[in-house]
Amino acid sequence: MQPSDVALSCRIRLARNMENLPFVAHMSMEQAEGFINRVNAAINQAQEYKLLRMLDVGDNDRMRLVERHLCSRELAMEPKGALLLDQSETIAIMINEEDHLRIQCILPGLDLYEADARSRVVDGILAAKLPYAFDGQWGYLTACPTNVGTGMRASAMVHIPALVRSGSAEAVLAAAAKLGLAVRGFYGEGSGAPGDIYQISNQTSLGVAEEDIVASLTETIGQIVEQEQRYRRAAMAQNENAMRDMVSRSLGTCRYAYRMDFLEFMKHCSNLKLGVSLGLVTGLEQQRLDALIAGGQSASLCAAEGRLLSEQEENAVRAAYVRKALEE
Amino acid sequence: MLCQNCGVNPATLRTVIIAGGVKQELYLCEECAKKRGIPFNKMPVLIKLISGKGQREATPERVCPKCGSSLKSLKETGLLGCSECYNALRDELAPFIKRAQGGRENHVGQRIPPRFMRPKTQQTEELERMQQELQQALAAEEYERAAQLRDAIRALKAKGGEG
Repeated sequence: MQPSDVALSCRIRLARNMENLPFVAHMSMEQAEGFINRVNAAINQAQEYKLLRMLDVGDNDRMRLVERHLCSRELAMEPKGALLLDQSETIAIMINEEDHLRIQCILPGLDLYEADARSRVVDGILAAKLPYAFDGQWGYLTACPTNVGTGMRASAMVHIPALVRSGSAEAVLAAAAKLGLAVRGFYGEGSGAPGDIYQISNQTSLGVAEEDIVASLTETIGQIVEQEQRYRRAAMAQNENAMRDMVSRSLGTCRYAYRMDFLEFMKHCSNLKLGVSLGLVTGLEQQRLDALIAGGQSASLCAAEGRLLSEQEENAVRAAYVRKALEE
Repeated sequence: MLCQNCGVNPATLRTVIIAGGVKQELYLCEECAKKRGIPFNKMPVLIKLISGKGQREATPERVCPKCGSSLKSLKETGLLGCSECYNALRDELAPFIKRAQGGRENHVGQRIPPRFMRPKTQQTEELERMQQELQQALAAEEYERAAQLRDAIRALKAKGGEG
């Protein structure tokens, strides 16, 4: 059982805005385009990044970026927006989302320190060439005044099926909320938690130094990881047969089903990830399951099919995709 | 005061109904008022009556000279219009930000844009060195030395006009 079986990925996001340029909602298309070019010139001289202007990217491809968590839903819907994406898809700079810049670094596992270090490098390069809006009292100024200060949002995705099943997840997540952290489902604000995957992030951005945000979130997530691991062990000790049954049924369904909607898909993926982590499933690795989850989202299925799918078609295509991926 | 209809939500509206020739004052929450078919915008708002907000609204609102944003537009959209808004609306924004940030009012942290970094003077370097030494002395429980350092730091700050 690895910690990364629970803490799937982590992210640092820095919000930055410019002086002498209206915030995005007040910008003209010309100003927006001009700013995209300025950012691109500031950081992308070596062509390390792919520049994706939202106007030029097709609907389905934009949704794929959202599903892969590289781009927010808001940016995908923003005609003034663009995304700078490096080859490893570790650094994703959102341009003209709610703020002029949202620099993101996304890493597997729980390594917020490294994500912080890498996003800081990118921030440094941009800060040297762009006139960041900064205030002595409130720090980095943001379009929404609730994000001022460091402009930092640190977050991690945690997979906590054992806590959810035992009914303890609510208490654990409520405790995290009491510590000033925000808890959301897989797809951010307002979404449920398909596949028992939650996103946990800091809420306070003012009056706490970047290092302290990273340290306290790492500590809290570490505790959640430990608790989840304890509950997994306990579930195995109490009733290994029931766990084996649940995981095997999911594997069976995935191998033989001909229709699968998104929520059912996420449920089985969650069970399989748990099964691999507990050694109940052999010949499958977490990485393969993570790739399976990414590929089984709506837009990815449409992209693989090369056309838009109705819900019924999508469920059939998803089942076929899962059958093939988990063939014996 | 709770809504006199549902008894659950706080009452925000007051209305007068006349039933069977008897005039009755009724305090309702927004939801119950809607259910009763009373148009929301035509109702006198209780809060306005109590706080006298209705009067205050008559005085012109402060707006950002650069983009025209105001506290009112912020409340509608959740967003400001430009970085200058923070200066123009500083007094209005301060309590708003403080509340959203759990009582915190000032930015901390060393990471500031290069343009805003002030070159370190010899004095601030000296001050930083002594403060470090003070922490070390405290950690080593050398209180006599810590007291000396404390006084020296105070003296230096006073000289620099910071204390």
